[in-house]
Amino acid sequence: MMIEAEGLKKHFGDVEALAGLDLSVPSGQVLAVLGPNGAGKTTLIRTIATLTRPTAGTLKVAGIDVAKHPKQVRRSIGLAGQYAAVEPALTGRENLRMVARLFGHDRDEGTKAADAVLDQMGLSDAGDRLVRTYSGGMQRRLDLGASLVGAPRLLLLDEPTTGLDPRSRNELWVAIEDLVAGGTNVLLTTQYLEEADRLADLIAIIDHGKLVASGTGDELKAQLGRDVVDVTVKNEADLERAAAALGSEATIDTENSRVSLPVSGGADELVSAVQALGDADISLDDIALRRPTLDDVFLTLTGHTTTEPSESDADAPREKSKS
Amino acid sequence: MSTIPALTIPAPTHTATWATTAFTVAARTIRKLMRTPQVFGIAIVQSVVFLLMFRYILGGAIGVSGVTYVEFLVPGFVVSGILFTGGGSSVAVAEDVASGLNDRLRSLPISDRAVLAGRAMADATLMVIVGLVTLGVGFIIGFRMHTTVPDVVLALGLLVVYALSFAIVFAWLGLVSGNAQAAQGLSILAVPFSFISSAFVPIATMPGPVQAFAKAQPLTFMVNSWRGLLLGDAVTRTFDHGLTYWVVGSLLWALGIVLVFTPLAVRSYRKG
Repeated sequence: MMIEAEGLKKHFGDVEALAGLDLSVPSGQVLAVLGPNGAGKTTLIRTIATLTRPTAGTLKVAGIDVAKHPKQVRRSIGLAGQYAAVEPALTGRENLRMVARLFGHDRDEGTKAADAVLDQMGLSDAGDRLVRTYSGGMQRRLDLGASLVGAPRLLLLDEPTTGLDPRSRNELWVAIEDLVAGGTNVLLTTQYLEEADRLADLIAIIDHGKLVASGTGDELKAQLGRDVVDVTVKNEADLERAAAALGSEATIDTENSRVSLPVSGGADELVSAVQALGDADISLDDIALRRPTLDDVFLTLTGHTTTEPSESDADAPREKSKS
Repeated sequence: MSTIPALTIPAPTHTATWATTAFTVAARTIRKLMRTPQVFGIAIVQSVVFLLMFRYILGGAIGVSGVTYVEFLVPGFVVSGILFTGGGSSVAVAEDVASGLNDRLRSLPISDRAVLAGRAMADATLMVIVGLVTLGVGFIIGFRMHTTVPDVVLALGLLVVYALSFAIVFAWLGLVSGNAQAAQGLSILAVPFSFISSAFVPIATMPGPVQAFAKAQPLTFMVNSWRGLLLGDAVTRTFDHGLTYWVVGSLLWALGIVLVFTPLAVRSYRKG
């Protein structure tokens, strides 16, 4: 097991950031920890990185207890945080050399490691420029690179792409995929379902400091057990009538003029849906049967979407949870 | 699937030694200072402007015995300047906390004390350089030494020791404040602390309780040591203790500061 947590708790005063979390991740897997803001993702990653001590419970990284032997754990991890923790007044190469030296490389090894990482991150040309001249995406890639120079067994990425534009995000995803292909264990936190779906073998959904569900993306979707019929209406005015025709489980997404209905009977249900809508005389743009997305899973398991904070699910601005 | 070959970096066979860690951290801090010359510039301008104001605006109204006021003032100014330069160090440490750089360092298999030692070495270097520039300006405005070469060397060595001990205090202040604004606010403490010492005016004119504090506090020991070493008999004659008392006292104070503030700084560094 790369990571094993049992009844992991962390309190900050009265706030319970981790409320008895159990988690086990085998070696060779990419785990995405998915959850809304305030779910405990950052606290979990900081605890694994030995930056915060757990209040109760046990946590082992590669079999080593983080509370008892934090220094040994630090030899096997690399951390890249939400903020690019690189020194703007140094060049990219100087940053990497500094971290390489601190990881224990001698001067030559450190220089080689820095060059290899610059190459891997596509920063060779910018290596001798001061980091303060880098774009946000380049700084994040350098930060990711800095966590790699010590050849860690486990890479910890705390919301690696939060705040990046789509292009930089994609570049970072490609960089992470390359690392995974090279055999690095990765644990990343994210609030983007797409990111978890794309990068991770295993997904752990956490909310209010507890594990809500875990498994592969497909397993989680299968747990929901049902497909979804998506109906796009021609006239937005017909949305309510379409939902009524499909039954009480249908949900309305006004933004996309869409009504969604979870179904268990597959194609037969699609036919009945078409008939029901035909009987109600509603003209459609599109109707399709699809597998559930992680979005559906998350919504079902936590009662709210990933992008809204878990504290305020009452006044959600989204239309999705309406029935 | 991937067209880029996998990253092949051998895992380090050792962890970084204490000295490597300290020097790597110090080198980073000094490089940063050299690349952001405004930090140096502000510290030096601030020091020189205050020196000139004391010398030419307040100085005429301050009476000292044995030596001229500019001779009295310059050693006090160089030594107490450590505290004013140190405020900037606190701010820089707080910035490292806020930027996540500290988190990176804390996740590495390195000694906490070595990180802080490296930080203190770099900050002390800045303090000493600012002190020497101030001393240089002091010569321009009329300061003269009346002493021997060994005494000057000893004085410079002591300045390094004082700077190192206070650098740890400022690192701790930066760590506990956690953000640059708070650290900046705390650095104002340098003002009362340096004024209630022998740095700018003779202690004898201060009211009783204040005088007692001034006589006992570390800065007075450090300033008097410097004064005695650079000005010789002319000033040591006016001391109520011999020069050895002040020099040994200042070293004991520096040691005490290191012993008290190192564990505090390590604890704040590791907290969070």
